[in-house]
Amino acid sequence: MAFNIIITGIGGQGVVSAGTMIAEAALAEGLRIRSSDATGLAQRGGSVHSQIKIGEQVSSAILHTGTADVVLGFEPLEASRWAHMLKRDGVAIVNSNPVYPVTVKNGMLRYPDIEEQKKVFDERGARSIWLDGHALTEKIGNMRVLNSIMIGFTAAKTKIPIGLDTLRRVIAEKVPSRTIEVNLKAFDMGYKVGSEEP
Amino acid sequence: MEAGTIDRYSGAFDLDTQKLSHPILLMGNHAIARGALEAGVKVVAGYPGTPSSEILTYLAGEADRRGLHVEWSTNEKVAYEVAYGAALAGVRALMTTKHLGVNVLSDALLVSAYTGVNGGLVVVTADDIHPFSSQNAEDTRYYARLAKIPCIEPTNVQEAKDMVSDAFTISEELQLPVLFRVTDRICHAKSDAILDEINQLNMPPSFVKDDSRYVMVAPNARRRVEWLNGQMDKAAALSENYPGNRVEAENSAKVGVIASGVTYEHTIEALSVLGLRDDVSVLKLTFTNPLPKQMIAGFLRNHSEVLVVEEIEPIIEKEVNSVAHQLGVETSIHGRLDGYIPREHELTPDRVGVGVTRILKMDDPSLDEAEYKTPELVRRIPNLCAGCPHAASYYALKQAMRRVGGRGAVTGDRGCYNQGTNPPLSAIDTCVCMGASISMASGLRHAGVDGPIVAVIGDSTFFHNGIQPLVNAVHNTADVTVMILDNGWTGMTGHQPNPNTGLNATGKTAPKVSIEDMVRACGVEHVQVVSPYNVKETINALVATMNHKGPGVVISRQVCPVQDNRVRRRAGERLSFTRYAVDRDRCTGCLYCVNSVGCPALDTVDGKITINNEQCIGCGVCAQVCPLKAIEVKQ
Repeated sequence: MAFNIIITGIGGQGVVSAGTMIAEAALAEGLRIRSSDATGLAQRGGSVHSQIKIGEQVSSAILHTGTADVVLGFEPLEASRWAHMLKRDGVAIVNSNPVYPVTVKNGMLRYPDIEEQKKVFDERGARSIWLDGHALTEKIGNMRVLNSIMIGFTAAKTKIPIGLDTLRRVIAEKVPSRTIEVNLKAFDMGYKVGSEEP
Repeated sequence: MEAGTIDRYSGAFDLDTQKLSHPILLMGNHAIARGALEAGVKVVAGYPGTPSSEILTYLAGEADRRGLHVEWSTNEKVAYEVAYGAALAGVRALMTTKHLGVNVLSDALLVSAYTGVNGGLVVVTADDIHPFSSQNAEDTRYYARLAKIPCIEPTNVQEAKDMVSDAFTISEELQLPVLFRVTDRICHAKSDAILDEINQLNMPPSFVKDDSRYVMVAPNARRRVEWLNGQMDKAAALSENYPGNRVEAENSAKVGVIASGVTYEHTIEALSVLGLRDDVSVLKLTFTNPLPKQMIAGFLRNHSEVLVVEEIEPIIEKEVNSVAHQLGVETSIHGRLDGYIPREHELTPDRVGVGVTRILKMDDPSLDEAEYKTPELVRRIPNLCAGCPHAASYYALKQAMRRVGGRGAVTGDRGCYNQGTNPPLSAIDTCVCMGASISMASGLRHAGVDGPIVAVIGDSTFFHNGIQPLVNAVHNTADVTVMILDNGWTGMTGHQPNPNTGLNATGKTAPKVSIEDMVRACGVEHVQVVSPYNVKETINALVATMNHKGPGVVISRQVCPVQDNRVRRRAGERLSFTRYAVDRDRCTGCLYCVNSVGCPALDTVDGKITINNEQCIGCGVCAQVCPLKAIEVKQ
């Protein structure tokens, strides 16, 4: 059976590169991959998601509804959008820091509060784990390592069939050389926080 | 590749360092590019368009060391003709486009099928079939039928690479261009894939005169159409024997699925999720024009009910119905025509599953609303980036129109700037196809619409198809204002260079074609160049041009900051921006800045504006528009 992940967020948060790193790591574990990215337009701040299937046998770059083991949300609203894709025993891991669209800032639209969004997952019977990614990036002192934190957290919280060493090695290979250290630190912190919390 | 023009997908890597026969992670568009290299392609031309752009970007990076000619052409017709010319000279040529570009190149395509080619010619059309980021969702496979040329539809990333070689072979065997049709879920999909050797073909270029074949005057055309029909008969035989057309998952089932392109993998996924792999057999089709009719007939005879799935029009479905009718086969055929498959939008494993379970008269779990309901949540409306010069241009345009008075109209065009349709800007009234802004503005004026009529068009779009409408506006004295939003790059598709950038596809310095010289050469006398970051100057230029009788042009010039900052950062520059701050005593929270410029760097905290320094690039437009002068340079 394949292990299926949807990573979701907004342009510039590192969603696609997180997906690529997970896919590369799966490949290094000898698994097969089907994934697809939807990046919308070139503009910053639009909805972005990456669907990834990894396993011995995989088919189609799109997930069937209700087959995601993990929804990895870099932004709450973008995560909640994909709740219906989760398996009954799937888990959503959500960075709780909203990024408001301009149409929310000017009062045209209302951004659903976090409690409302949690309910979307609860109604589905799926577990959702919320973490303050912003606080963690501040601790690291680099706003651009959210994706490494999220991957580390996922490694701790889920049955993702990829070894920690493989994930660390692929992160080190894929990020710009001057940021290897800070990204690995972020990954380790994500893993540690994920292991500590219930 | 020059630092500034690398594509925005992080999957790019040097494929040569990877060992063959060891799987690597490959993006579909890179797979197609690699396939072209393996096939020994010599000339590559295209115009950027989602989801096709990364194919050519990748090949441009390989051009120098492999001795290829790779170019971004001014539009798809030009690109096709460049590739076609090369193929007449006996070398292998590749042309890349998104689906809408096939409309543009179709004029040349349909006649080139009459002359045929010598070296292989493969046209990759990347169809945005949902559509995710296009004006329409069209099925370019109709063009394969219209032009009478073969069509290949790979089902996954590996086949996208492998079948490019097949397409070149088929093209040379039949002397016909081949339409290589892919969709979003191949182009922007990533998968494990195995590479093959890159071939250096020994195909010396030579053009041998043959006017009866290459000069398409009517008597020659009458002869060549007979030849073309004969070639398509040969193509039908190739299709029957093509290894990519075959019955997969053969079993004793009475129900079958005929699937082409990506829908084949969706079918396998749906059958796996629903536990129906042994209950349904599948006929996989990848050589889809002409179809393997004998193979289809055999499949129909073995099944009592068949579902046809394809992206996105029921083309194969209709032809399967026709085969059944011709052969008197009684099999029930389902698909889009009878509503078993939805008529619009991308197919997914879910949607294929619904069709299959309906035939089997079982419940598809995805029909269970309670369990599979998509959450209803507010949409994230796309907007222009922080400091986008287009947003500033639109602000000035709306102010100028207000000042001149009358309702008027703003005809838009294709590029990043059509995000200007979204709130809070809501600045354009139309967006149809490349170049249409100028001609549609002329039409509105000739119809008698009063008030300022303004066409907004980007620099790349102007070179694509905007010059002829401008000449036409001059020739027919259309009283319109044309605002050329010149940000120096082809932005929306990932910042490719264009004739106005000063670089070519391979990153080398290229002559910069001057927009103002071009505009004047079109016969426009009233031409002004402004920076949209100077709000007052831009409003004044627009007002003057709107008041001018006859066609006038305002070139609103400011390099795309996203791309410019990227180029400078990659060159090792340390970027620093002018910092702005809000005087919270003066700010009343009127939101005028947010509503009139819509800049994502403007945040609201406790009802007042703050500036997000992580996003702000210091363009200063918000400070100029604030009615209370509450936004100032931070000392």
